[in-house]
Amino acid sequence: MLRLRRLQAALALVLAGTLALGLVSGVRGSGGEVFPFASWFLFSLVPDRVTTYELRVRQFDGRTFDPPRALAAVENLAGSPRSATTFEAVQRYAQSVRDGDEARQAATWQALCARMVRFDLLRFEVVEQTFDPIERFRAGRAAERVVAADLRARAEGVPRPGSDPAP
Amino acid sequence: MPAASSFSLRRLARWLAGDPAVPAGPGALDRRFLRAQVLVRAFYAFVLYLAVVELPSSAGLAQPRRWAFLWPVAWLDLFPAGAQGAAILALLGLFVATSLAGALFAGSRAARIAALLGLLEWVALRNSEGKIGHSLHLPVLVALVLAFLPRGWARDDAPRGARLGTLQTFAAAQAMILLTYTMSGFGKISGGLWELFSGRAHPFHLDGFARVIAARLLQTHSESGPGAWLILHPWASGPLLPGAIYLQAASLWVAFRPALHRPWGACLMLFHLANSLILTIHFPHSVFLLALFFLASPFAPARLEWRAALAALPLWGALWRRIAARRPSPAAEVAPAA
Repeated sequence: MLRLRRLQAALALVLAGTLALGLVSGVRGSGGEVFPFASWFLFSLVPDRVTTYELRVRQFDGRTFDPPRALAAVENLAGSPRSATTFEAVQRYAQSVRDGDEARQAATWQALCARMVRFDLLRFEVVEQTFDPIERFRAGRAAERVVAADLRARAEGVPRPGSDPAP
Repeated sequence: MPAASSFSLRRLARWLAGDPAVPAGPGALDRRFLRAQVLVRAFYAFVLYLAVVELPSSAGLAQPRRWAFLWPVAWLDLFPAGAQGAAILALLGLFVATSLAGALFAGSRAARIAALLGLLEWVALRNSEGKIGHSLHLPVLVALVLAFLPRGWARDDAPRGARLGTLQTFAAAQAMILLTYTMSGFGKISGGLWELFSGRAHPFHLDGFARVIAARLLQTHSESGPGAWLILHPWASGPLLPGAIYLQAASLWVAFRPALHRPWGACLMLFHLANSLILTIHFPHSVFLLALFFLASPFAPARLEWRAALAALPLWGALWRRIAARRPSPAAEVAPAA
């Protein structure tokens, strides 16, 4: 009987611990999860007006896109172009470009490159979009602002504006 | 101390269970125990299946890439970049070996702990690319609970104490699964209330779910026929989100209400299927675990009794019980007047 009670107490502790650590994960927010104890706060907020960033490709190796095409719509560039992980990687890189934070740019660009095939030359722009999701879905309406107009990158190194970087 | 804690646990369990449970009947302990034994073995077979079926895609993880290792696999950072691929392949080999040990020797706690560690390592590696997904967390949490199974649980002639302990551990695994849904549900309720009172779009508004679908499909450049239709018809999508919030938030109560195990499990599976079709969010492993732990629940009545299930519903059950109490029972209708 004592063993059963101990087992009950241990199981209750595991469940309570999962709840407590999950709440800690929730408080710490994105990137602060006490793995594997997630908060499970998935889709907890309804998008009202949304601001997201898009990488628009002008040139990828020998191919030129006019008008520039969203990374997710360029074939054979990103490994999983429509995954939420790629989306997050684009957001982090774009935000570092927006903030002009060079150290963060280097780190987030490397993380984004890890999700892309090797390329010789990539020319792209970073665009900020603000929209109401339903309006944009129905009518394609979104307010756009170009954050960086013409970034060029080789396989190695951080993208720079202007002329093609040396190979 | 154990006596005090089990007393308060019993009170908590009774509160969560609502009305007193229907007596299980003679032979229920043996029947339930035998079924739980099979289901636990099926879980470890599932972990082995996961290791084998995911091996080809997991092997691709050994290619050079930028990692943000989670703590269970932080030791991989100790290897130089050139040797990291080999270390990752060793980790994958460890996952296959430990899951095989779990499937073969589930009766041994050491094998179950090894299976838990192998699974934890693999899931951590899969989520070490800068973003944590959540489709693989549930098997890890269930394996954590099942590591507590009492000694001798796998024996056919297990003593009564081991049988009770097995069923309690199985029930805790069920509670663990449902707890994650409840946390998700309460996350949506608190987020929704904050949005409601700060004048933003919220989940209780008719276009709440349409907004969630639109943002998700735009974000991932995904296409979904049902999703697009629901965005254009908020009258149809509007009730789905509050319904899903109720389904999720009330889940933990269901762990203590066996009459609801099967229908609730089926509804949660349907919820995942709908998410897959509408939002292109896939949780296939959770669907399997729901089938295993709830559709085949050892505690569920042999036949679905819909009156008992309605009476056991969290929140709405009390209303149903009141309605049912006002209506004459079928037995009373056919009984001759005294």
